[in-house]
Amino acid sequence: MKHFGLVLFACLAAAAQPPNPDPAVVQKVNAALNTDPVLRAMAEELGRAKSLRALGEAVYFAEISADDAESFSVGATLGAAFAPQRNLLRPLRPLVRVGSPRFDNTGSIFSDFYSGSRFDTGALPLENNVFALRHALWLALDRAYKTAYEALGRKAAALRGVTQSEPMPDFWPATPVVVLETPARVRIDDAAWTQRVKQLSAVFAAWPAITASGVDFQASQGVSYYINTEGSIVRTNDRIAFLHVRAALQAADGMLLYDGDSVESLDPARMPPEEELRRAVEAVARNVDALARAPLGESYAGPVLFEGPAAAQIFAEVFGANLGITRKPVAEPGRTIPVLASELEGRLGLRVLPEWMDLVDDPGAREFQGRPLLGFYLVDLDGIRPSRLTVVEKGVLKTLLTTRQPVRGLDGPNGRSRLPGPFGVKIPRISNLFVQASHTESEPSLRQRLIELAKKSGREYAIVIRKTDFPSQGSLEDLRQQAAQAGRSGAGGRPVSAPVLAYRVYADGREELVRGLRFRGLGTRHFRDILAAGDRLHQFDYLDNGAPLALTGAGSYVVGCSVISPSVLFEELELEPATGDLPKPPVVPPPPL
Amino acid sequence: MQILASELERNFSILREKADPPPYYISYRVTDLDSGTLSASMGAITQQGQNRRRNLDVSVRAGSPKLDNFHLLKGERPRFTASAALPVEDSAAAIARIAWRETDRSWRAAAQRLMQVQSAIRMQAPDAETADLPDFSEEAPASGFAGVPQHRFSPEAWSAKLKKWSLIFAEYSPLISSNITLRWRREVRTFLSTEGTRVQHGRNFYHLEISARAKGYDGNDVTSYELFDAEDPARLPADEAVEKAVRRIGGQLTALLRAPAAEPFVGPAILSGRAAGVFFHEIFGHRIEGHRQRDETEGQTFAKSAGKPVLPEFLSVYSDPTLRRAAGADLNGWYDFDDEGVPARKVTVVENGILKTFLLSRLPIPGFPRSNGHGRAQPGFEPVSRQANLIVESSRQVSPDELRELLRTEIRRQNKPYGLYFEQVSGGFTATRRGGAQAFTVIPLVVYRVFADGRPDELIRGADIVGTPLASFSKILATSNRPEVFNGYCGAESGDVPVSVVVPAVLVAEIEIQRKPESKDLGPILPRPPAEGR
Repeated sequence: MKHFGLVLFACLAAAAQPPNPDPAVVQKVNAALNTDPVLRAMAEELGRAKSLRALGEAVYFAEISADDAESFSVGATLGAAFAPQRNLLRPLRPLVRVGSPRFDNTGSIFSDFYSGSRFDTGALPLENNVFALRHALWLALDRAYKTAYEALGRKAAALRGVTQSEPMPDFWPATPVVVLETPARVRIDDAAWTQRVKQLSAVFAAWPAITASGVDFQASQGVSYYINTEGSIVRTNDRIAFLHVRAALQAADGMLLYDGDSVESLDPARMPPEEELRRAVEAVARNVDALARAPLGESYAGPVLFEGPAAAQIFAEVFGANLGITRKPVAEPGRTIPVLASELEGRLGLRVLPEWMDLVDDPGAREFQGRPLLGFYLVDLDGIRPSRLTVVEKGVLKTLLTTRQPVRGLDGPNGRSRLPGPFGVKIPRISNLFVQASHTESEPSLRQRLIELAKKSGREYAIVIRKTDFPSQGSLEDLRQQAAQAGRSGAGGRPVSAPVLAYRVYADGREELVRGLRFRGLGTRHFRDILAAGDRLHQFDYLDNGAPLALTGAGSYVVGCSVISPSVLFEELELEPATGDLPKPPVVPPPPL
Repeated sequence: MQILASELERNFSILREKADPPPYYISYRVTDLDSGTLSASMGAITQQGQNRRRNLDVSVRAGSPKLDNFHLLKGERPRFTASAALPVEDSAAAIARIAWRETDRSWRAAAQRLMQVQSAIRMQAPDAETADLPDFSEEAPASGFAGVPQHRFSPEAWSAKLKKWSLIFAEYSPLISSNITLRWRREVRTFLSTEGTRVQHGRNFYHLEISARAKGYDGNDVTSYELFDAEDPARLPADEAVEKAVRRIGGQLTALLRAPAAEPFVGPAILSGRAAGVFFHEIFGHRIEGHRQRDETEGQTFAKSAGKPVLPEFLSVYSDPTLRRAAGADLNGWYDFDDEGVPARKVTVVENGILKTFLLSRLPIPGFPRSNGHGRAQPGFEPVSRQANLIVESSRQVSPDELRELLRTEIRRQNKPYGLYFEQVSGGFTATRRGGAQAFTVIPLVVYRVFADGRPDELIRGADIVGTPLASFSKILATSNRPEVFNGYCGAESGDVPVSVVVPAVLVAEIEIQRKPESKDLGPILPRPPAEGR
């Protein structure tokens, strides 16, 4: 058995330039292959897949990603539980590349399409039976190869009649890694969580005006596997848990209002104590209740202060997605592809923030000021160890977050493949993003400046934002309306989540909550003109799933991110009231609680 | 039930008084599902899960029974319910609030469509046949409570068996993928309406499905499967029977890969009971669904055929949702009440070849003003008339051997080189709409050539049936005396509903097949990994 493992590792590594394998590493790999049936089946079938060339195109690279996950979820409304769910799943994501790194089957709209019969199921068996595992991998890699072969031909055909301005290669080189964590599970107490979620959801029973509310808890834990034909072998423990709260009501004028919150942890056994969760639930209830009584916001252009976690939220939303960059997929000429380009594309070397601001993305950081960070990870989805990156230095964009898909202006992957994506390309995302300001002032003084700015320009009030709807808790319908309004408003740009808690601040310091406001075309360009930053840092954790506005519940694959930012003051942003007809309030009053 | 009843009445009385337009009918339909899946392939569990959920469907009718928001307009199939999840705990506060929210939502949708309907019909020339038909039939309120058994059932015990059986397929090396899946479900349906209907009933389903697929060297896909359905897990097949079925499928697929391809052919054939079941369901069953006779976009094959012959005179067809077992098997298609709260009852659809009535929901059709308990829907859909247990009886019955002899006689009479025996067909689909070809598609999976001279039958592959429905039916010559059961799920405009067909094997004078358009893609390039670890 031992011997077998040795041979296998040699054959795995043989595809790339066999490095001088460190005997300690070889031993570690052998031990893992001999004791972990999933890893062993993956290595054996990947080894066989390298010889796939029946159709005349050799495999130059192949990889297998798989998760061995167990999940638990339970939800409740007004103290009554929906049935708890426990699931085992082992999603499988194979990728085969044919052609060459200069030109291969990925990055085209045909990359995921195979016209023949499909025999694989997209998942591994749930048990560690090597034959059954290999059988599933055999069928999955076979289809991945045929898909690659078919895509390469169609991609080449689509490009035949086109002159590419500056052809880019399709695959950046990377150094193979071996990362083998010992699989370990933590205990999740289903009954205790069911009870806790019920009790937390019962908080809303004290708020009869709230028409819909719910509390959900989800925990997922397991092992993530990645191996490729270059000799990378990765096995890491992967866990996440979150509690999600949402509440909605209809104001007297018919406006539908909602708010939500999430509390996450990379360790399901170490979620914050119930008291802290209860405070989050109560805050949501208070927020929607206060919003229902708040006056409607009016169109506004002027100074805006993002205070506390709202500053981290707006950085997360605007920079979180735009810092990652993927190429537009190849398609037949004339075909439109609904892929949003990054606003930061082509802006390397240009100023995107004030000279006194830096942005640092640090996946290696586990906590900040004693509080755990959500963006920590060891290895990305390409099997690359990420390092700390200064993305913006003294206001100038220095680099972007990359995967192994080559992008213009940069020279290699920096380990930010965090979400699986279409077209054989992964999606880069931030990890722990630190907004660092070298000039700061106290928060009261920021507020004072805000009020003075408003006064100077003759405005009656200025705006402070303490919470935005990012990641959005809205329904798809809410999202559609926002997108439609963003399109109509003429300000352009991608839709940005609406403010939830926006306050008018009057000259005497008095505050008034207003509702129904939206940003009018807020984008990265506004950040160049940030006037000032506070001297306290605020952390905001969230789950990204690749969906627009990171819409809660929209994607099945989530990744944790944290943003740490001071409060920031913008000299001028535009806000406008939500447009559209309001539904009438219900004819029948709600039943008593 | 009490929680829902008081919320239903509270909403209805306030809406009657204050809403414009007021509803004249509201129903609450709650489906409480407790289900599970266990699946194995190549000796390992590939899928397992249990799921409990409750759904609430609220249907609101505004206007009047004469003309309401459900009125059919140009084939549009309106839906007002949105199937909201309810907690599985009987909490009055939580359940009442969701019911209130859903009633409000459904009423808004109903009110909006009623206005569209009212303005649209003013623009249309009245249709003589449907102009006077109301949109909702008058029915007496029903009440009834039927307990639903909680069977003792252990997924763990099945897990080991599924794994063992699934590994038998590994002995058949040409197979590419195979699967054994067990699904179980306990359904409790609660239905309340403002007419006073209060019913609660339900049943259990246990379903074992064995399937395997392979691909010939020429790219031809072959598939075979067997299904077992039972209402009580004690009536699922015995271990030996499942093992035999696995080996039968394995052997059959291996043989199919070597079988000659079908040639275009017109001639006599026998359809086994389970193959005939699919045919009756697709070709006949969908065309006796009442609502299709009123929808102007439908072909309405039988709309004017009531009282006229539609089948050979030795055949009678019943729809009997009260029948729980037939021919030694549990039936999928029984229920106590339909999804409009109307009690199930046996309906004679065809008597001695003559069409008597249709399968009816509360949507009246010309000549048939009342429901006969066939309004069915999957949670989340509005009910329409659907099949339940379709039972075909024959007065021209012969033994299976005699039926084969009749086939040989027919082969000789028509001077054909051979006849066909359809042992297994896939679930099919049918186009009943006017725009379509009024054709049906049933894909034969296991077909034999039968020779007049008594040579052994010859398996063929890749046959595809061509033809139009009515033609196929006039050509039934005789049936066997051994009814068989086909259990399945039928998908249509009101979602998936469980159905059964009970029918003996039939001999048809003429069926037409052509060669199936084949896929040409290659099978797996590398050989299968070795079965024994190492």
